[in-house]
Amino acid sequence: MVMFRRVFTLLLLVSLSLLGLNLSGCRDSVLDPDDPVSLSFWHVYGAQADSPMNSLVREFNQTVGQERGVVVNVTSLSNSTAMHFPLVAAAKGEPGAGLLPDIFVAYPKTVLTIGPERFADWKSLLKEETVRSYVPSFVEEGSVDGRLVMLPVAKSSSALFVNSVIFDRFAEEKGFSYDDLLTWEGMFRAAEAYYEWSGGKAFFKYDDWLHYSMVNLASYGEELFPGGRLNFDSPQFAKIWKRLAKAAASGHVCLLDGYSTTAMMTGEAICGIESVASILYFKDRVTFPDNTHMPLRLRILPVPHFSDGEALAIQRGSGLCVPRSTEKKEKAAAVFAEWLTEEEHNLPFVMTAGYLPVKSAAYERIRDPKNIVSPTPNAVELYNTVNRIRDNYRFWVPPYFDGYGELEKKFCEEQMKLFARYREACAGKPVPQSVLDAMFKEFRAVME
Amino acid sequence: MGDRGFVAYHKALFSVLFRRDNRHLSIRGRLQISLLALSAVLIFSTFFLLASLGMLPSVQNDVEKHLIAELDAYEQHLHSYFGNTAGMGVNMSRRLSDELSHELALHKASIADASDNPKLLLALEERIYSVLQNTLISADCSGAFVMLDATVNSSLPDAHLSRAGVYLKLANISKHNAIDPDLLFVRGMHEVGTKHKHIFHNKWELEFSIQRWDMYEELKKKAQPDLTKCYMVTPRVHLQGTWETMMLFLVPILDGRGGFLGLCGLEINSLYYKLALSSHAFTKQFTGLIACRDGDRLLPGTGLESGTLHGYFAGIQPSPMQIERYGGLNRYESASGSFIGLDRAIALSPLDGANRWVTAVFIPEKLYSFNLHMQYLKVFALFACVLFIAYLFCYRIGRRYIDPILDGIDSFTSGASERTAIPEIDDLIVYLSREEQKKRPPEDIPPIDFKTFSANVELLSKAERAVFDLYMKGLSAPDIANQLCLSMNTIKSHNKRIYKKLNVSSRKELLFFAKMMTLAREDMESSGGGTQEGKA
Repeated sequence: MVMFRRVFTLLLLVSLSLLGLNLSGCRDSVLDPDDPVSLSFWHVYGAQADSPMNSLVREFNQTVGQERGVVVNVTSLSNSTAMHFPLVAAAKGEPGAGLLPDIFVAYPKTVLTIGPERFADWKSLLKEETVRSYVPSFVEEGSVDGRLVMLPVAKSSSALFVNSVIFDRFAEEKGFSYDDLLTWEGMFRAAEAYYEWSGGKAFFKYDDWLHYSMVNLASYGEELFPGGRLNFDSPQFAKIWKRLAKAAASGHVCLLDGYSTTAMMTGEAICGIESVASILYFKDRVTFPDNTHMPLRLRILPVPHFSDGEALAIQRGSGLCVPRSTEKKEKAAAVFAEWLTEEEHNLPFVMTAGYLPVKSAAYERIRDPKNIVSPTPNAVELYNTVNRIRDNYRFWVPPYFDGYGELEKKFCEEQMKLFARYREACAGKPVPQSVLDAMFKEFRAVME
Repeated sequence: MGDRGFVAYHKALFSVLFRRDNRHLSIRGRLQISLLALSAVLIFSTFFLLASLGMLPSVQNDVEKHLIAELDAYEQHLHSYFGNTAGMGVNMSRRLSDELSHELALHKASIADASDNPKLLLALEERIYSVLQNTLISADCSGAFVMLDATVNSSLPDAHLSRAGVYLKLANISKHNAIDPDLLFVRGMHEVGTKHKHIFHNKWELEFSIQRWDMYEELKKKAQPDLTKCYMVTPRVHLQGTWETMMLFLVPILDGRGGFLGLCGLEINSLYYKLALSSHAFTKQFTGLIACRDGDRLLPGTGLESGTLHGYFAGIQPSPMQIERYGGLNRYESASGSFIGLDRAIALSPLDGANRWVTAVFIPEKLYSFNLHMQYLKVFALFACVLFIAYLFCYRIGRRYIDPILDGIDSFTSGASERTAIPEIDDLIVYLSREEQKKRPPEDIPPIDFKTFSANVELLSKAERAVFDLYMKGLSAPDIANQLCLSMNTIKSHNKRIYKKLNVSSRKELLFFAKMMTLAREDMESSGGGTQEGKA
């Protein structure tokens, strides 16, 4: 009987082992191609355009995703501002907000609002050499307390986009050149001249008016938010703010909501300072109120700086974030991220979307126009400018701190309201220094 | 029974099973093989009988039933969704009709007067804005628009293809849309978008182009006061310059007298559809689709696709899928791979025309095959389990009935003569013991000296020796008489003298010693008689 029991136990163990092997498919990973794991993915790349990220996701799903058992499912596609609030609401579990996606693209302000401790550390998900291959400053930008919570996928800077069809005519008649647009002194002079030349039209628009104050103050070696508060005591801040206020109250600056791209395609402004990634969103024509059109050809320049300040270029960009979840989902996210940032996939993606690559080796490649994936005139122009910025400007990373998002929103809204009110009040007349002082005082009162 | 016995037994068993050599198989092995064969036949017969009576679930039927249930659920979901959207579209058209009629009446103008009249167009767009915005927020869709039968500048070359109007879209599509969502301004006068502080879509244009919109003229022709009979669902269209593909619900807008004012519509883009129509399907890697079917080709590029609530989404390529029958199901072959599923015709609108819409559900063929194999594996495992249990029973039966016999034999050969629990075997042992007793020397044989006996043999005369030798060879008295041509009386007289000389009292005793002599001789011969001969 003892022998019988031994044999029975042996047979049972062999059967279970065989069954186990059959079910696991003899695999060494938590991922299983026969039972793929799905990752919901929210991103911001090409929301209102032919999204290159959607194409990449499709390619991944049909190749490596299929082999490794990972399905990436884009369930939201928007811009980073629009995406911030649903993400925060989902993280806080607000009613009707739904669940956080398995993987998403976010700016530091979103990550800091949600809480960096809720995210997986990419350093533990990716190979060490993969992390080392990124531009070190990008890794630093995506790290919080030594944990890499925002994996750089694409980085951006800002640039000045100029409607060359109109500017060339204006410049020829009024004696300006593109070099004048390299400094703020030249920009404001050109804006004033253009206002007169065009019969009262705005010259330029800035996508994020806070950046104007932040970057320019940083170019003088000062911080806009020392200790998390606005640096109203800085004479330099007062100087650069009042210079903008003067142009805005005089009508030289476009104060419409939305992106500079919109102002340029409706003819409301001929210059826009915005992310280099805006290249993806430009149409090839300007549409006027009578439904007539004009071709829109772009010249792209570095963002102006004050002539006595340092030439800085903002470095920004969202990162790929993975909220902590199951081992399987985190592993799947790592497979996707690893694939996404390989040079053969990352470089075509960033160049189609107008971004900067994230790996050190890729920067040498973009110096050669032959390596531009879609060498349209706009793309060639953009990457010439990117190289010019890299050679002549210092990249500067804006600070992020708790409450930054709210402060940024309030700064921009209040400044716009104030500018709009004073523009109406001034009605095209010269703006005296006393009015500028009053504006600054009023703005300080509102912000403090 | 020890380990060696068990191993030897199974070696013999396997030898029989696989080498077809049953010469050395024990009686127990033979019994077990017979029982096992009987069990297998019974199990097979039971399976066969149950299967033929339809009492066993068919593996293929199970998958088919599952997919039919998924198709029913998906179709119901789709029916309800498209029905509600159509209702919202028709309602929007009625409200827009009221708003436009009032505004035109205020300006004492017709819709034709709005062309080349930017002020009137602006007033009309402003008037319809709130209806559009409210519908977009309340309807289950990703965008809403109104095309007016007018253009701001009829002097332009393509003015006949240009229509004024407003088009709003959700800025951020997700599963749970906010109560007050951000909207994108896609079409419309700049002042309208600016006034309502909308972000302009990057592909914003002042007016719609109806260059590729044959349905505009069709709807204009077929428009009738009963709007429920003249709305239309378009095959998938692409918003140029973007990733967005969408299906549109189009409803004509008529004034109180039936005059055509334009058309309005609701947009369901691919992302919105994917989220809104995600299936609760239990089936993994499920794909649901609304698309047109053309004979044996399914055209995914004409419709939209959704996956499961768990997040699975196949991403079917738009190229046509070839359909072929696959048992009770269909096999869909495409650039995205092959799928197994079903489709069923569905009517989406009264003006479907040549579009034969179907709702389809399927899973990858790879998964289908895997499921099927797993089901077969389960049946096989069940069969193997039953067979294994049967084998265990056979083994037990073999031990229960054969072991006592073997124990009895062991007991008999070892001389223990223990009794077993089985009377038949005990009887057999008793019988065999008796037979053995018979072969033993009689108890009345005097214990004489075998050496003396052997020495006395030399005293026999030649004739007596001849008779004695034949006794030694095992011949009987009559046989010896025949062989030596002697009478029985002569043999008897020889016997008397032989008994006397050899000092035995009966023929039994004589034969006993004779046998002993024979055995002794054989022993000597086999253990080196040659050497003895050599010495001699």
